[in-house]
Amino acid sequence: MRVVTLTNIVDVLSVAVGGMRVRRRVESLMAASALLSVSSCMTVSASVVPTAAGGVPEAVEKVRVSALGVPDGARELGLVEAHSAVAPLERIVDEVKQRAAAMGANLICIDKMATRYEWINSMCGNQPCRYEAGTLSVLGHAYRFDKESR
Amino acid sequence: MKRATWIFVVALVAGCGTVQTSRVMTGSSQPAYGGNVSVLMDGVALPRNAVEVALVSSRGTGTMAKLEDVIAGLQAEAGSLGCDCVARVKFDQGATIATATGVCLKTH
Repeated sequence: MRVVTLTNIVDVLSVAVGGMRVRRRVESLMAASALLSVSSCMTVSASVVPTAAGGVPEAVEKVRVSALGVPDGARELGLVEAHSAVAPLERIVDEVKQRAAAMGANLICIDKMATRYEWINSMCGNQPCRYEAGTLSVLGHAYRFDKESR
Repeated sequence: MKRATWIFVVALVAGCGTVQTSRVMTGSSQPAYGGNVSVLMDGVALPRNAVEVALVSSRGTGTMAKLEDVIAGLQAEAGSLGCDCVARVKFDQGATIATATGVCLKTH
């Protein structure tokens, strides 16, 4: 039985396409992929700006998300932002919901979703390498909406 | 010949580009819509009586990091949720990645 390792794959690819330069490039790409895969489990950053006194933290499952507007009588509690270079939209919005819930909000109105790109300089083994990362940011307002506040 | 075969195999396995889509439900899902999903860029007025269904995003890499592929991904994701329109679409182009986000709406 033959065990295929990352080094084997790099060797095969290098031999197939030819040369040390290609080998370095393949190594760089694989290192960047590995870095992104590992970091995908954890990196969603978020921040909150309260604009009013909050209340008792709400359960995350009770936080509703909307992009078109808020109902009359909803009380604004603050701004919430979350972003990540690797996580999908679901995870980023989930983080926004958690932060809003902690403020006591039960409704989020998404104001903006945007992606910013940057080149990351890193070391792949002992060779410098460079890859592009796109950071998706979601910004919204957190609200408390109760039937009594209508 | 051997080298050419390897290049072909590597290109086949690695692929030249991908489009990945993602969604966050904000309303109730509808039966899939098979028609043309209209695209309204950010800043364009929303259609009347639009019902919000989800937030959608599409991300293209490599050779698919371009407007047509990324918007097609957004339309496909919206159509699968029963939406006939994607509004507030924002498209961000990088050098090797492109991303679009929008709000999936049912207008009929």
